[in-house]
Amino acid sequence: MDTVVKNVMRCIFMGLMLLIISAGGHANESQASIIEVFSIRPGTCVVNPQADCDSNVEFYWQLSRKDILCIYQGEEKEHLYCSNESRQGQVALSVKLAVTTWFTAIATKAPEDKITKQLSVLRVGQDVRMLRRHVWSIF
Amino acid sequence: MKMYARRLLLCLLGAYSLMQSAAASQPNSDDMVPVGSWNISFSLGYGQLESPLVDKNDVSLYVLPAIQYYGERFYLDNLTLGYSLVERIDWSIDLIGRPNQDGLYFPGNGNPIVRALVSDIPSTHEPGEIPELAPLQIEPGEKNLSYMAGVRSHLRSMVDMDFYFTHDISGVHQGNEAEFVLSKSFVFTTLRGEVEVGLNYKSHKLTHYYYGIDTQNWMYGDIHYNPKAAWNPLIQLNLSYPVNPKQDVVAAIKYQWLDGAIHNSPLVIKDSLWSFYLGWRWTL
Repeated sequence: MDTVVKNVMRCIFMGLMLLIISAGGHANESQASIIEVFSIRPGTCVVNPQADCDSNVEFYWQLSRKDILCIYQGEEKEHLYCSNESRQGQVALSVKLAVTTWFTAIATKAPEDKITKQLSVLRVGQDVRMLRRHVWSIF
Repeated sequence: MKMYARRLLLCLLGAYSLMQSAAASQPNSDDMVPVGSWNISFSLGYGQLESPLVDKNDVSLYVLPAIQYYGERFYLDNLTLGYSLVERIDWSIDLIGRPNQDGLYFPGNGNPIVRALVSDIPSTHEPGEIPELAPLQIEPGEKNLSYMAGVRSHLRSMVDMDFYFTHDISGVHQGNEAEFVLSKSFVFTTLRGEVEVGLNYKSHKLTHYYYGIDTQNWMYGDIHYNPKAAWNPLIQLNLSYPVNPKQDVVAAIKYQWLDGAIHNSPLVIKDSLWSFYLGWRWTL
C-alpha cells in the first residue's frame, strides 16, 4: 500500500513539476520578443501653424537574434525602410509629416512581433505656445 | 547720453545679427507650454527693488506669487497681458498691456500733485536755481500708477531679442515707454540661467510726470525741473536650480543705469539701481 501511495505521490509531484515547467516555458515564449529595442528620435516635432514636419528621424533597434527589420509609417503597407539581416542597426530617414504619426518596426521572421513608436507633430498656437522668457524672473 | 544709448543699441543689433545665423530650428521643450495650460507658483525668499528717490523707500520682496497662462492667442505672464497677432517658432508679434514700474517708487495713489518738501539744504546755489547735477533734493510726493499698452515683438534664436513699445492708456501722463533686450539662456548641469542686456526708453511726458518738478517752495521759491526723454541701459541675470520637478531655487539680479534726465532730478538720489531676489519656488 505504501508503495502505491508513494508512486501516486511521485506521479502527482512529477506532473506538477512538468506543469510548472511547461507553464514557465509558455510564459517565456509569449513574453520573449525578437525586437528588444526600437526607438525613434526626435519624439516630437514642433512646427509653425501651416507647416509640415520636415525632419530627419533617427531609428535605432536591437534584436534578440539576427533578422531583417522593416519600418512602416502610419497605415501605409509599403515599408519605409528594411535593414540587412543583423542583430542591431540604426538609420536616419527623411520624413514629411502633417500630423502625429506612428512608426512600426516588424521583424520579417516574426511578423506578428511588432513595436510602434510615435512622433508627435505639435503646432505653435494650436498645441503649444512659445514662452517669452526662458527662466523665471520677477523683474 | 543719447549718443551712448544709440551706440549701445547699434552694438546690440550687430551682435544679434551675427548670432542669428547660427540659430537652431527646433525649440527646447522647456521653452514651450501646452496651449491652455496654467502655471501657478509662489516663491519665498528675500529681495529688493531699489528706489531711486530721495526718501529711499526701497521695496522689499518676500513672498512672490507668479501666474502664467497661455491660451491659443491670449496669454498672462504675471502682470503682462498679451494677445498674439502672429506666433511662429522663432518670432512673434503681440499686443500687450503692463503696468509702468516708475509709479511703484512713489508714495500713494490718486494725488497727481507733487508735494515737494525740502529735505536737504544746498549751500552753493541761489534760491530757485537748479544746477545740471542738482544737489537740491526734494522728497517726492504722491504719483499715480500708470498702465501701458502697445506692441511687443520677440525673436528666438541663439540669442533672443525682445522689443516692446507701449503708450499710457490710463491717462496718467500720456507718455511712452519702450525696451529692447537681448537675452542668452544657458544650462550648466541642472542650473538654468539667462543673461539679459538691454536699453529702456521713457518719453519726455513719462519722465516729466514722475521725475519733473513744477512747484513753489517756501525756501527756494519756484522750482522747475523739466526732464527730457530718458535712455536707461540695463543688465540682468536670472537663475533657476531645480531641486525636484515642483521646486527650484530661483535668483534674479538686475542693474540699471539711469539717464541724466532722471538722475539729475531733485527727486532722485541715485544714478543707477540694483534689484535682486533670491528664493525657493514651489510650483502648484
